[in-house]
Amino acid sequence: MGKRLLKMWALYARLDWYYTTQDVFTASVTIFSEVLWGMATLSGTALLAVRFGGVGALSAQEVLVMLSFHLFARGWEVMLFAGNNVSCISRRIGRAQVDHMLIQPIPLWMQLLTEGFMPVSGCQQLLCGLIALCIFVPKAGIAVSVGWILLLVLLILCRLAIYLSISYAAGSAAFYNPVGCEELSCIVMDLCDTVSDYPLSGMPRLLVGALCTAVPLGAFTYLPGLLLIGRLDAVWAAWPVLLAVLLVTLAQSLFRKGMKHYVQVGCARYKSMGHRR
Amino acid sequence: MIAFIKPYWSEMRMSARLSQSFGMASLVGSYVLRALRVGFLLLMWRSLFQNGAPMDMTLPQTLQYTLCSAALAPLLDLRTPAGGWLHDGAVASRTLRPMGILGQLAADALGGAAVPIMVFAPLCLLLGWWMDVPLAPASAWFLPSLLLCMAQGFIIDMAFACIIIRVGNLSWQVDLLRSSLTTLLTGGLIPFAALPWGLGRWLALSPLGTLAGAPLSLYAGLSAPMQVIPVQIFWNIVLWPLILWWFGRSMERLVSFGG
Amino acid sequence: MFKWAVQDINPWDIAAEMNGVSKTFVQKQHTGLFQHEKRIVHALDGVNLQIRRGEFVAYAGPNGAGKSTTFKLLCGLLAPDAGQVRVMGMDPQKERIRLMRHTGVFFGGRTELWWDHPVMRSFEWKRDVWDIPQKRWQENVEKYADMLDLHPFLNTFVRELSLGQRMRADLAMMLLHDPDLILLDEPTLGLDVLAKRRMIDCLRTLNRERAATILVTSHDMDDLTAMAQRLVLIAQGRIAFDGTSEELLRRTGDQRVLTLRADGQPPVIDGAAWQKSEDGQHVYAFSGEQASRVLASVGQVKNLRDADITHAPIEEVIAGLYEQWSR
Repeated sequence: MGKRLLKMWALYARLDWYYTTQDVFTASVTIFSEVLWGMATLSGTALLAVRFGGVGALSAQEVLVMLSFHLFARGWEVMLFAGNNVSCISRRIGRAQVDHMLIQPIPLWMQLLTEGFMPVSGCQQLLCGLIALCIFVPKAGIAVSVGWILLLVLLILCRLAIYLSISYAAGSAAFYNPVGCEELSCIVMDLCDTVSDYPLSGMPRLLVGALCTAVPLGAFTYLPGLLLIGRLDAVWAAWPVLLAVLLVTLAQSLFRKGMKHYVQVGCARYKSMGHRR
Repeated sequence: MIAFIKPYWSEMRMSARLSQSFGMASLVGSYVLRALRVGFLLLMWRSLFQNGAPMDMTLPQTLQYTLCSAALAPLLDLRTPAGGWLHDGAVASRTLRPMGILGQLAADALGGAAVPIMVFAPLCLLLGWWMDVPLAPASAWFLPSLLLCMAQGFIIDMAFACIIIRVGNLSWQVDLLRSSLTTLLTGGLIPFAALPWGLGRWLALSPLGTLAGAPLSLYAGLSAPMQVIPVQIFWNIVLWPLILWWFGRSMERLVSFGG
Repeated sequence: MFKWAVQDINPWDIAAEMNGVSKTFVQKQHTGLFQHEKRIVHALDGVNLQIRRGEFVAYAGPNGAGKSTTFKLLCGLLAPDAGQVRVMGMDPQKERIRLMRHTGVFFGGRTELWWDHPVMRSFEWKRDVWDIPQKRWQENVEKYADMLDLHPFLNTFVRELSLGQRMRADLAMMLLHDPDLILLDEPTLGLDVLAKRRMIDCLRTLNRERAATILVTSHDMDDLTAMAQRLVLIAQGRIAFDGTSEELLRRTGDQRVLTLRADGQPPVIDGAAWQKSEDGQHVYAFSGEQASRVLASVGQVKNLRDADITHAPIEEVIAGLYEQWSR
């Protein structure tokens, strides 16, 4: 199974390589647009942090570390799952593209884990985030140790799990209302992106508490950011792990239920957009 | 006159009804989520202003700016279906109708914006009232500025459609570029007055800067009408003939390759 | 055959079987602002169907009869509301992955090809996902490229292919893993005469040489009768006919068509009903039982320049049946 998984990753990496390198123009536009998009989405918060000399109790440098983590982690999300609408699963479901998945002789989980892999066209934000971390972490006076790197890896894994779980949990609504909920995953992810890149420091405590627990948008960047800059003890890293486990369980249950409904009811509409094009 | 307008009005209604076909649940769901986002942004400004920093705008102006931006978003960043025609292969059926192409695009854009405005704008007003945000515009010049913004937004959308037609199968990347530029340069998300290093002053003169930023700055009382409206008129005069010419040249390519 | 193929499934004689299968859908009818009514559609109603290994079956019916629903049930894309579906001895719902290794599915209105890649790359993708051994894959690519004349555009981006080229490439891709059961939903949609012929010849060769079981739907009755030995007609969710096309013609009265070329008004022919006249050509319809009466009458016609008797095109027979069922 492991070998098959690696083979599938290699397959989609090759397809991404061929697509991006079909000509210089495609490669340039693809790379440039991804870099610009990554910079643009964070520039607002970064510029505000510089303008206001920080946000709440966090200094401007600490905010920049937090944003660098956000860019780096989002780079992993894009590279691993953005291709072929894997992360925006409601589009696949709402457009009846699940049928294409069901006629392949590999398990659904393997398809969803591998089809989104874009290591060539989707690595720009990751690289920008890595560069930003390398620049801003030392400037913020944070000591980079093996433990710190392991913490970074753990937080990225938790964030990936939380991100996908929220998308899949929301996207499962498309099984029941394919037309109405076709874009729901993207709308929810857009909300997460807008809110999660803003440091919650200085916000009402009740709101911060809610955003780090019941509506876990604070678990995307704020909480991991506090852990990485040393504002919270490492023991608090258990909280994103617990959230990830809970959300993955919920998303899996909703998705399974939705799939059962889908094979019972089917989907009358079909739209090929986004399926391998 | 009525006979001339009737088909475009019909097109607008069809475009507006599209969102109705998605069902109540999806409409309500997506707007509730958007309202949450706006609420969060308003809280964000309040917490930032608590830090205290010399700014060319007050907290009430900033909140008003953000609220208006959310409520009128579909008009401040007007989108037509032209960019998707290459991919959808819809251009053939459009050219077979006894209607002008530009008129169809304008009708589609306005129709598509109608329901979001009718549903979401009152929601924003309610949210604003609840969060003590001043709702009345600071200047009546906001309305002509909004109309100029819509005209300019329409022609800039056509420009992006031309780019998509030229690049062919990179429409997703062009869309990403457009979203990036809209986020950075139009003033829709972050008011120009809040940007450091005097960036806002220069961006306010650019073609993208005179989109959302212009009417919103008049709404919030951040700029004088004579600072904003002449620049908008200038860009409309420059961009319309240029982009119309480019779109005309692109149409044949669109029909040949768009299917 | 692949390394897992021989042990993978138990020996089977029945390729596909549906026992008492029913499937119902609910359609929303828009009746007012945010108002909808629900309409129940019985796509399949107690259908019993058995397809033996090696058969080539045409599956036809009017629009909305339940053809695509049948296909989706056989692939496991849908579960039946009642009854049982077995494909090669497997339950499509429970053994989807195993089943898909031996099944090829082709939906005419959809493509499995990768839009922004050349055709060959899509074939490589198929090799990797279906885990086809390299040698076998290469042989099949060569074989189907020859059969379906794909060589000129194997390295062309799929987005630049015409409809006919794309469908041929899709068919080839579907066949690369040597499926035992082939399901084709409208495979000749939008194809020109030559492309259709290539596709039909390819499928007939597969059926003859590899004993592949093929189930195909189409609205083109000439295509179906050219391809298949057995014809199953479905109407309003039920099997209306199951036999050969000759049996169908016999059952519907062995309709014949008489065409006369004669000057002037259409002659009266005993035993035949006049249908139409155009430029001195007169067309009549009659039943095969009246053949001798008709021939005798034709012999009496003055100024007769030519006469031709053929079987009524099956399209017309089927159209008549569809009309009957819709009443």
